[in-house]
Parts: sequence; C-alpha cells; structure tokens
Amino acid sequence: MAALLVTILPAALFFADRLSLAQSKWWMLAGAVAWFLSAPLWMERKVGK
Amino acid sequence: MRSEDQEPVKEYEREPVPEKALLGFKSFVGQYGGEHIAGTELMIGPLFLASGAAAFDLLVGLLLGNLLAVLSWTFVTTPIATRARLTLYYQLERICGRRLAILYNLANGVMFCFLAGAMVTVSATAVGVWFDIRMPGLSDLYPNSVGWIISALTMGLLIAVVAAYGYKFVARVANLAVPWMVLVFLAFGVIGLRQLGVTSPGDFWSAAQSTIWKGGDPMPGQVKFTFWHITFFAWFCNMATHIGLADVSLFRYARKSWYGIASASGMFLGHFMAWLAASILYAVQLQENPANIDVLPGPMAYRACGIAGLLCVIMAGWTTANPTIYRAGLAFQSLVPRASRFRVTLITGFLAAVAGMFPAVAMKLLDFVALYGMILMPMGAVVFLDFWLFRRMGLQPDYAAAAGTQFNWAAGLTWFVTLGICTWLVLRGGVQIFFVSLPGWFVAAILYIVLSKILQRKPAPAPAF
Repeated sequence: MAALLVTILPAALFFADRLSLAQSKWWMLAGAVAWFLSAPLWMERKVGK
Repeated sequence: MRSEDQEPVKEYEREPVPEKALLGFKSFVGQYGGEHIAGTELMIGPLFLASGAAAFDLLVGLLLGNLLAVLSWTFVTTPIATRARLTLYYQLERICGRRLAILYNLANGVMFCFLAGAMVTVSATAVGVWFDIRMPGLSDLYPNSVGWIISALTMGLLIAVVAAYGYKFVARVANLAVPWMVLVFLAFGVIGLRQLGVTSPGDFWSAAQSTIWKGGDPMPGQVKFTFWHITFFAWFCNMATHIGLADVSLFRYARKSWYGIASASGMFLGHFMAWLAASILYAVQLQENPANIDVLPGPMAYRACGIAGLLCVIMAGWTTANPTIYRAGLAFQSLVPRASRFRVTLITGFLAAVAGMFPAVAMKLLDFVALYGMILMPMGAVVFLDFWLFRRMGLQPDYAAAAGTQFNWAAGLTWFVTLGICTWLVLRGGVQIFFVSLPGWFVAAILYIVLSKILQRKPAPAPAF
C-alpha cells in the first residue's frame, strides 16, 4: 500500500507545486519498483491465508 | 517448458457451469477493472482530441455512453449468461451449427489479431523513446522507419512467445500491475492538468473548454466527433462483448444477474478516467508544440511520468495483448483442433506482431473498434432472440442441435445480409460506422425471425440433445 501511495503522491505534490516534475518522476519510479518487489509477496501471503 | 503446463484451465466448455463453480461479485469487479486499463486507452483518449471533441461533449458523452454499456451488460448479457450458464461458442454451435460457429470464431480471431497488433504498436512506442526511434505519425498507415519495424516486431514477438509459453505468468503479472497502472493513469491526468496551468479544481472547467478539449475541426484523417459520436463510441466499443454476448462466457460464472453492474469498474476507471487522462497528455503535447500532432503513448507518458510512465505503457499493452492473442489462438485452433495450442498461439502472436508494425489500426483505432462491433453484433442478436423469443413465437430454439445440422442457414444469412446492409449504410447510406450497429441489430433481429420462419416451415425432428 505504501508503494501505491508513493506512486500517486508525487503527482499530487507536483500539482500542489510542492515537488518538481523531475523529482516526481523519480519518486514514481521508486513507487513502481517498490510495488513490483513487494506486491507478489503480499499477494502470496493473502492467498496463503 | 511445455506450453500446455502453463495454459489456464478451460472448464465447462460444453456444459452448464455448476453451482459450486459460481463466483462472487468482487471477481467480476476485478476482472473488468483490469481488462479495461489497456494499452489502447492510451490511443483512444488522444484520438478523441484529434477528432475535435469538445469538453462538454466528451465528458457528458462518455458518462452517458459508459452508462449505456454497463446497462447493456446488466440487462442484455448477464440475464442470458446466468440462466443458460453456457459459453457463447457452445450456444452458437447449438443454434447455428458447428460450421457457422467456426466462421464466427474465425472472424473473432482475426479481429483479435488486429486488436492485439494495436496493443503491440502502443508498447513499441515506449521502446521507441528509449532508443530514439523515428515513430509513425497520426496519418501514417505503413511503417516509416527501420527502427520502428524492429521495435514493433521485437515487442510483438516477445509478447507472442510469452503468450504461447507462459500465459499464466503474464496473467499473474497483470493482476499485480492493475492497481499500480490505475494510479499511474490517474497521475497522467493530474500531472497533465498542472502542466496545462490548472492549479485548483475550480480552474478545471475553464481549462477543459479553452485549452484541453477546445472542439473545432478534427486533425487530418480523423472524423469529427460530436456528442453522439462519443456516446455511441463509448457504448458500442464493447459491442461484441455485451450486446454481441461474448461475455456470457464470463458471466456464466456469476451468481446473480445483477453482477453485470461490475462492468462499471472497467467503464469508469478505464473508459472514463483513463481515456480522459490520456487525452490530457496529448493536450500537453499540443500546447508545447502545436505542430506535433503524433499520437504516440510512449513519448507522452515519458513526458509526464518518466520511466514509470514508459513502464506503464509497456505493461498496459502487454498485459492486454497476452489474453487477446491467447483468445485469438483458441479461436483459430477451433479450425484445426489437432494442432498444438502452443504452435497456434505462437503463429497468432506472430500475426499480431506483423499487424503491430503497421500503425494503420492504432491510428484508426476509433474506426476499427466500431467495425469490430459491427461485424460480430448480428450473432448477438441471433442468440438473444433464440433465447428469449423463439419458443414464445412457436419457433424451435437451438435449431442446429434439434435438426442435427452443421449450418443453420437462417442464422448464416442473417449475419451476412446484416453485414451487407450495414456496409451499404456506411458506404452509401450516409450512416457513419460509429452508429450503424444500432439499426443493424434490429435488421438482424427481423431477418433472423423471418428467415427462421421460412426455414422451420417443416417441424424439426426430435431434439438430438
């Protein structure tokens, strides 16, 4: 969930002029990496339950 | 690695889905939400803008058209799906005969190939950014550079190989990717709005009318889109699956008929939010350089969201091309049942890769989607009438099964004549392709009743099933 937040929050912060576009792009990439690394584990755990 | 090990299980292909296999509402919400965040949304949104759509027409037209689509799934598709609990293919076989059902499958397979090709094109535009490849323009129908050919073919072949070898793997990746892709699409819109000078929600409407969707003349090669064009496009872009009844194959697993409402997740996330967001990206491009009218998802996404945007473009194209190629492969395999599914899927994927090289389908996607719906719509009318009205009219339903025939000529003629009439209406009758499926459905309905009455003047023998 944190990874998803890191995906959308930079766009919201850019909209609010709190972040530059370049910074927003890097944070979104970080969010993508975090999501694709963590989501498979989280989904496996969910299925396991 | 044997492809058969990775194939999804095909269940209840020739029998009703039993109670124990029925699924809850959430399954369909997830399915539709994921399926309609596709690579093609990144083309359709900008193409609305290229077609001169105005702000009010687009926003209200999409709301109305998507609502009509949801109502079509809810009141046309799912009532039949939850009562018959059969695949569309099996119902067609029983009504139309195996030979006609195979022809339907062939038509569906060919259209799927081209659709998958458009998704390959979308993904290839992302690769094009990384390697600074010269990419096709809005009016281009043919590949315009060696780099583009290599990019599209490579992307297409990769997709084809994975679809043949590892369907389940990509399906799992798609499930993972969907929540992330939804947010990236939302980010496209939010970032794009800021780049267009929108600083608060209050600014939105004025920017929408004066900067984003200004209306006016369409760009070269595009048809002018009015309110009704947008409404009918949003409604009929999935004609084959709702009124055409292809999604009975999906909703046959639904516990209740009202689960058709689950389609709203796809319509309002994908066909509203994603289309608008992609359209906003194009508006940003046009504002930066009015001469740059190319519709290329890769560069647009990169401009807004960097590498994450490119990844989203690739995944959106790939994750939807995969099941599309798989379905096309299944459709073609019905022609040669003894052929290996792996090989058929690989060949189908190769065809999609070749189609993806030609930007024609992607750049004319609005027209192609309308054509797709028109071609498959008549058989939806055949199944609809057969299910609801035939017995009440004293006609034999499931005629091919009852008569033991492989080709129900009433259904066949209905299909071909309806297509002929629709084609005439588009080419000579002044009806644009975006609208023709509505009168076309009624033409098919009347034809099927009249032709069936003629065919069934002699009573059918005792049912074979």
